[in-house]
Amino acid sequence: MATISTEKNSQTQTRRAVLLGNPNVGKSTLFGRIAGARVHTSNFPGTTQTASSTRVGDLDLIDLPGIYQLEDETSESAVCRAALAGLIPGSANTRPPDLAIVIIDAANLSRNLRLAGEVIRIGIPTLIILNRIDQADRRGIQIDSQALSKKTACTVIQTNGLNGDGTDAILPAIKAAASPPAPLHDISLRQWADGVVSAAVIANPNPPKPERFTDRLDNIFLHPILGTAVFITSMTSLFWVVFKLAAYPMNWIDIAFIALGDLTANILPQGPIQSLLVDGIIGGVGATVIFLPQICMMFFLITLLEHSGYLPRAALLIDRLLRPFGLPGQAFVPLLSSHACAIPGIIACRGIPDRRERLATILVAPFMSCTARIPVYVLLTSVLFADQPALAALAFTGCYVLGAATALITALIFRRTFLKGPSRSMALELPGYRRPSFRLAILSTRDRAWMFLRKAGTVILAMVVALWWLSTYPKAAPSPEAAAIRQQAQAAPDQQTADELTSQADLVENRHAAGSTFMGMAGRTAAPIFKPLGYDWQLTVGVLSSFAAREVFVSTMAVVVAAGDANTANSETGLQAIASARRDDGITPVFTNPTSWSLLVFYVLAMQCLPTLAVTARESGDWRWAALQFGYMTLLAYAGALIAYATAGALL
Amino acid sequence: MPTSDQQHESRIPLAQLKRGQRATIDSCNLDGKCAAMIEAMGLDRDAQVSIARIGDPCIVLVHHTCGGSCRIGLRRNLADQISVRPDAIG
Repeated sequence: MATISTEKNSQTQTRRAVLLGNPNVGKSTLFGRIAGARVHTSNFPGTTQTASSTRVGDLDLIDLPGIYQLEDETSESAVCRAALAGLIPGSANTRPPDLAIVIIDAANLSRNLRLAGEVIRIGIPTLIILNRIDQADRRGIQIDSQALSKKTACTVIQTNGLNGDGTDAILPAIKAAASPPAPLHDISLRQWADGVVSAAVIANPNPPKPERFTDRLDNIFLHPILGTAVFITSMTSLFWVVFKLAAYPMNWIDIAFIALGDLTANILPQGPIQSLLVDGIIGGVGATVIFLPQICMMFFLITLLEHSGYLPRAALLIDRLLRPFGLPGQAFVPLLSSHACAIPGIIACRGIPDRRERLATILVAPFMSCTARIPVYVLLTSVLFADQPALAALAFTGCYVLGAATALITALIFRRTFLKGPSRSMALELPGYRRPSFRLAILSTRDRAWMFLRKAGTVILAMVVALWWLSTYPKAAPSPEAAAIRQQAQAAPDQQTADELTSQADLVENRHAAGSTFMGMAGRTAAPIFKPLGYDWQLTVGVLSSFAAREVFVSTMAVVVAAGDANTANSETGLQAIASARRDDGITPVFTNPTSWSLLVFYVLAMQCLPTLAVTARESGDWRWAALQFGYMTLLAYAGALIAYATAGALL
Repeated sequence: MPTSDQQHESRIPLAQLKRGQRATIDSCNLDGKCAAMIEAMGLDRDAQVSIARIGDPCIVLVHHTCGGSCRIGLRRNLADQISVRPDAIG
């Protein structure tokens, strides 16, 4: 099965082969066929833009990103050049690969051959695979493999990656291929490719059939009005499906984690270990894993759209709208994916060729409302519009609009200041339309889900444990106030008054305990900073705890302000408990209207996700970009919340 | 030897080709990075092209000598920078 090779034995008999090819030639599908591995299958949204590798017997097979040529300044070409020079990611020794496998779209031979020529020129033994041989047949293009082989001095095999025709011959050919081909001499790659084509191709004597179907669809999808309508409809339905359908599995996951927490609480004796497992690990990881259905659904649909051939058209159409903000059409897929989660969104920025445009997109991608913000939006909009679901929905949508608009405007500011530079005009290859493969979409979604779960199991788990510790210790001495109420309860005339007093005592006790932990101390210390935004120390604790991961806010608020009602598993009453919580004076609600507006704006704009910052640092190649991202987003969130608080205070 | 006027007449920007009309690329007046990318996609000197969609963005078909073709979406301003020689009949 698929494994990322970790260089366990680099003995001399281990052969190493790299897979190269233009984008959209079916390279990753072939890789999957050879290796039996489940890898992503298209280049466009940046799915295979790092080298992924697998081991077949004594062969290390490395799948490289799709490129048009080796010598250009895109990051994909740099990865390929490094791999051909022997600098394979995750591998210690720098031995050039034993074999380069160049996959060629048979229907697009002349252009694809130039890349093969570049590889041959390096002097690495090369195997040429003519893929999509069925497409060439359909266009009446006949390719003489033997003549091609003779002319290029490479082994040549013909395959159809989609149905597997000819793929059985690949592994034997890899084993057999050895002798380095004759290096090219003074002629240009183009002359060489043309020479090979004229020797090996029996061209179709009939003129090619016009592709009326593709032309017609392209005309619809790229039409300024019709195309925009199609785009808005497809994106709206995409989000509708993601939110509506994902609600069911999210509910099941919620119920499962609550059940697991209850079970653990019943089995283990009360104490720090029970608290760590139930409140810390199960609660915290559950709060993260709950987003898995939305992320899966989002990627499943994006993959389907991508395979159908629509996404490049959408990117081309959107280029016109993004251009005034200094972003290229290629930024569309990263920004779209960021609505699920900014991490895959930022990784998808590798598909943007221009460095400045790429950096601008990375910096603004986290403004897109990711799924982790949803619980906070739900809490705050339901506090603001308790009995007006229509207005709550409108405010909810407004959050998405505010995030996207801020992203575009800040991108424009960056592109006019420190990321100033000419916009590179867009040219994009448009693959033919085809029926999307559900099987491939499911496999690709499974990979994403696994990536997300690994993150939840490592980074998020560590943060959850740290947060639990900070918000549990040091333990407070019993509250004298609570003790006094308990004494009253014992002396109460009837059972009902006694119960009420006891639960009031629990509430006081819990708040006292929360206030004296490290987190509570931090909240009290930092409260003056957040006071202008309308937050008391309890909200400050919520805001501070969500700097690592924003979805923590709701659970923190549940612990801090509504601990007395925390035993109600029903989330509806849980939300109500948070909404009706009081400040220290016992009268003012924690969530006044201006405070809720201010919080809403803060959570739309603030950079509260450590994993995203880590990915920004990695993808931009410099941690200072991550620091900038954190700094400017936090400042903007503070300013926005300040304005929202003042405006709401004046108007309401 | 054609006069300079005739030469001028015979070269037009790619964006001004009629739909379906075939032409040969003469030159690209693009800066280095852009030109390299466009060339690698097959839009280089002497390539056979035709327009499948006029407007912004436009769609260019690059016809290969072997009979295949590929479809490239281009922003109008790029297509304006590429000059082509329309084929005699068209």
